[in-house]
Amino acid sequence: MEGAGRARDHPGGRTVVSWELVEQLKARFPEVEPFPRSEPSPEEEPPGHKHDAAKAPVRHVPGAVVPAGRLPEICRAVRDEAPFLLDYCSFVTGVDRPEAGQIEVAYHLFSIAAHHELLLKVSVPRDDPRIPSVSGIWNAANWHERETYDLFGVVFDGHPDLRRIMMTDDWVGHPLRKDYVYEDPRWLVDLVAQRRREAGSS
Amino acid sequence: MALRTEELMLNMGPQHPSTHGVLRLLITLDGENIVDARPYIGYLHSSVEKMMEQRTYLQNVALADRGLDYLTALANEEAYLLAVERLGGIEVPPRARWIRTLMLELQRISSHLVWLGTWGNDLGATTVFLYCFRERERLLDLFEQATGGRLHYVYFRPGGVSQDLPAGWTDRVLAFCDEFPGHLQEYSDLLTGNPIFLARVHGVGVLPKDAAIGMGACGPVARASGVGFDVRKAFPYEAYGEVEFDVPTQDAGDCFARYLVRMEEMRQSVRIVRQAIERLPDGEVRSKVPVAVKLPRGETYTRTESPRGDLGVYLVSEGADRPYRLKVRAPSFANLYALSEMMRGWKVADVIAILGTADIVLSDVDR
Repeated sequence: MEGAGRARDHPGGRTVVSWELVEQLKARFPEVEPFPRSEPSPEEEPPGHKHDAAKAPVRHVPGAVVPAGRLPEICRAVRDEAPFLLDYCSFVTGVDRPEAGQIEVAYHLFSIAAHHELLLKVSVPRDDPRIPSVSGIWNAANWHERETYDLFGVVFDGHPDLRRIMMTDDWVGHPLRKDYVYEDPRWLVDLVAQRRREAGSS
Repeated sequence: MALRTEELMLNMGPQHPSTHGVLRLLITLDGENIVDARPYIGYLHSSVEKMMEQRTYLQNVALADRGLDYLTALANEEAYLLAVERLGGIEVPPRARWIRTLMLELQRISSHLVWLGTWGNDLGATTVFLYCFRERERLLDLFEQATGGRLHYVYFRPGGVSQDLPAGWTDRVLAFCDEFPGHLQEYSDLLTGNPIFLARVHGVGVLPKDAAIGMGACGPVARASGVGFDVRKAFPYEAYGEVEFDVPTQDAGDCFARYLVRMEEMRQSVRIVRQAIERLPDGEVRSKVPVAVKLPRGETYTRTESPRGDLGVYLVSEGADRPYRLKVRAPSFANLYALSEMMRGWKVADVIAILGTADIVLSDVDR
């Protein structure tokens, strides 16, 4: 292999990330905001060129930021319309950004037939994170949305069964938030003591 | 006069020998027919993703190894390291890439052997269980000789593998490859020709193709439903782009199809292992990577084909020596969601047979 040692020759995934689909998405929905890309992209860098991540983050996943209100409409379109035909939802998850007061909800979509992918991101405010559910569009999103609700506290409006999935129903707080206190939470100690008392009195 | 009947709620688990872990299924029955099967998970939740945010990239290799699927530790390390290496532009020397490919396929065989053995045991075919574990023991010995670990290896490192293969090791692997197809035939004779086994799995627990895609099923479960997708073929990583192998698929989508797909996958894995040993290049097994490896700001999503399916890692870096956010897209999690679709409409006696073919590992589901 020529020029081994740089990201583009690493056998993890494709050699070049195709942003064509993002451009087509932008053409179809002008309100989406493609991720800022580094120029040249990490895959096209000339040898010896050092990528400056301070200017733009390294991105290996093509995608765009979507306004929360338009999410269901855009999702339905990318599932059903050519050239997208993204019939497979790999995951839904969150990224907590306390300094921006936001939680980013990320959707990774994929086409089994065409083998192309798209990462959609929606930012919601941390103090009232609400977003329309896409579980009616991709059934697979059902549990992933429940997990995101459980661990980040994002509420998915219209979800058929929005309950915690990993933690117990009476758990307090959302563990994957950056400000979550996990050393010996007082409420948990009290809860265990209370359960012991209940078990003893029966 | 009509008989008055009512639905029965049957609780299975969280401690039940056939769930192979701690899974609770709430099954709604109408007589003997399953109306609904709802999995309740989280009993093994250890918040690996949270722990990973507090440890360095090197420490997380051990965490990926132990914190996810405990039967496929190497596949977890691979998924995690692919994300790290891709985002950091870290080079992996050719010999290390081939060693990784070889190890991953041996891991696939050992994982499928556990699945076949335990599933056979669930169905009452205890002989298969003992035979499978006999062969798996040999594989674990091989892993131990090469890596020092039997179940948890921490063998892959950023930029390669921790040490070179011991002398004479590849000959022992080849000896295993020579014998193993014969053993596969043994299992096949015990099961495929057995009318009781066929009656319990043939045509049972059908997952249609569109439901498989819609519910996010992946790996052998999806391939048995006619979804011909394999990450090793679609987005080759390590040396998978340079070896020859077939991706078995079936169209029936029943338990028997899932069994056939995994049996054939083991044969294909032997093929890949042979080619890897044949073409193992000389040279370094690890490139120079600083211990406190720092990744540039950015994000990546890499996918691998673990024995259970499409195992992906979504990594967000803020330029520190540890992940800002790391999401593991677990294949068992996706396949377990599709389980209710497989069970609906079948008899309560089929629950165990269907659950076994999903091949879930609860530490992978709950993370």
